[in-house]
Amino acid sequence: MGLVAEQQNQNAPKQASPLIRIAGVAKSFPTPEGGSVTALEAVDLTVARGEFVSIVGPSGCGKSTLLYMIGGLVEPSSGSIEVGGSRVVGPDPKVGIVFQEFRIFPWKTVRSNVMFGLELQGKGNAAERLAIADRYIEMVGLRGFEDRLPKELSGGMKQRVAIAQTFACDPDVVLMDEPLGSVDALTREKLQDELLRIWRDSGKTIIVVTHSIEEAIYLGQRVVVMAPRPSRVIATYDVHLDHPRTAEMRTAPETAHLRNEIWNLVRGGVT
Amino acid sequence: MKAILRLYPIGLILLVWELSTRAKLVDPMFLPPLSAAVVDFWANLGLLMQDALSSLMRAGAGLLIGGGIGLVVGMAMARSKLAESFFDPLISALFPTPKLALFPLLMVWLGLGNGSKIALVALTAFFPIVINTYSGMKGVDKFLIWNARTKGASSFQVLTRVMAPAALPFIFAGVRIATSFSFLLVVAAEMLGSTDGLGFRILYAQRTFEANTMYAAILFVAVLGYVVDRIVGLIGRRLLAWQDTAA
Repeated sequence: MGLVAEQQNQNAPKQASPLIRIAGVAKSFPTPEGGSVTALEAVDLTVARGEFVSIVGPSGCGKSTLLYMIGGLVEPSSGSIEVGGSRVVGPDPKVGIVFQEFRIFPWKTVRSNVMFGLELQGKGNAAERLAIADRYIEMVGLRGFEDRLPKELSGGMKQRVAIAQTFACDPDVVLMDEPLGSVDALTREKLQDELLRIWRDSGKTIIVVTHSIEEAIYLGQRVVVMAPRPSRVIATYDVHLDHPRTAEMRTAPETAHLRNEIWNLVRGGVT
Repeated sequence: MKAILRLYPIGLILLVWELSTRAKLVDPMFLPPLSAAVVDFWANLGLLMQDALSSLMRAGAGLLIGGGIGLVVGMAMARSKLAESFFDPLISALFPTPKLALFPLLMVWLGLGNGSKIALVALTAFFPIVINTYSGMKGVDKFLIWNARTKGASSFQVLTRVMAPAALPFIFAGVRIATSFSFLLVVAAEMLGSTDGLGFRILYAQRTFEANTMYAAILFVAVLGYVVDRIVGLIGRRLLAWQDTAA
């Protein structure tokens, strides 16, 4: 199938120019035996500015790899990725990533973790950086914990630091790799609502990778479903739930219906 | 109080030492009473302090030079394939060589003064630090590096702001080993060819049948080694307070 046809096929957002354009992106890794193993088969996806997209799929479906390629950390074997009209060739502070299992810097306090990106980029003077950091610490609800070390925080709190750290750099796009994967169920729902609030307030473009179908539906305006062996995108769904989301929407019939549909699709894809 | 209780075996041995020598169970030429060694220590305090200063200066200078070079080379190896392929076989080949075997050579090249001892210590301190820096930096969590890179870090910033602090626990373990090696090697070198230092003092006292002075110097070396190790350990605890350890 041609590239153009594939893109028309996409559940393309209504806006005129997409912020992220992924065309025919595939990834394979060489094996020690001299062959190669396919981590991802040709993926086409466009994401509009300000959109919140969820990518869901079982482990091994290449969803993290796709995220790292958008972030410029892993190079695609073929195809192209554009962010804001220019081709991705390496990491760019315009595209922030919140990594799995809160990879924050253990030797830095909450505040210096949140300021770190600004320091690396040399943004503002020390006082300005401090003010920005404190604003994002406030945003994720960690006021009073500014001087704590990560070892003194719970998993959910560390996750908030990671989110604040990335948002503080003011990227256009925020990619999140299982951002809530290792927090307990109660904290998880709370953080989901906070994430949606931050998204609404900041107007940023967000792509979240998750293995929870419920989370993907609750968070995303669009849910991209991926399947393993071979790793690929098998479907894209629009989520017809209003914003802001409410607790009732978690258990609403439409949610359950969509969840079952995706679940059946994923189960069919996992062989 | 607890710390004192923990040290009771040492006290017990010292007590047995004192009592058995006082009871003339041992020839005082082989083992003088502990109290005699302590009295001798006070009598020769000035001399022994000067010796200790010389030894510590040599150990410290060698540690700084060897450790500093080890740190830089270890960082280079972790970051550059070229440096890795150049230094790795050299280090593997030279690490098992007892550095003391090179001391006669160093004496010929650098003389009997400070130079040969500092060089020996530097050679010894280099290895644990270069190896720990290299492996510590190689083992830094990829996602920490990625996190910094997506926030705009240059490769120099990745090295100094992410890899170096992340590897600090390893580097510091290397520093601690290098410190005790340095002390050991400086004493040994002073016994082989020197005109001062604690190693020289021990051997000189032995050769002049000054058993009391010999034991005073040995005890001083033991106490100094212990104190230096404790100081390094305390610095480490402060530097690495962020570590999430079980203890």
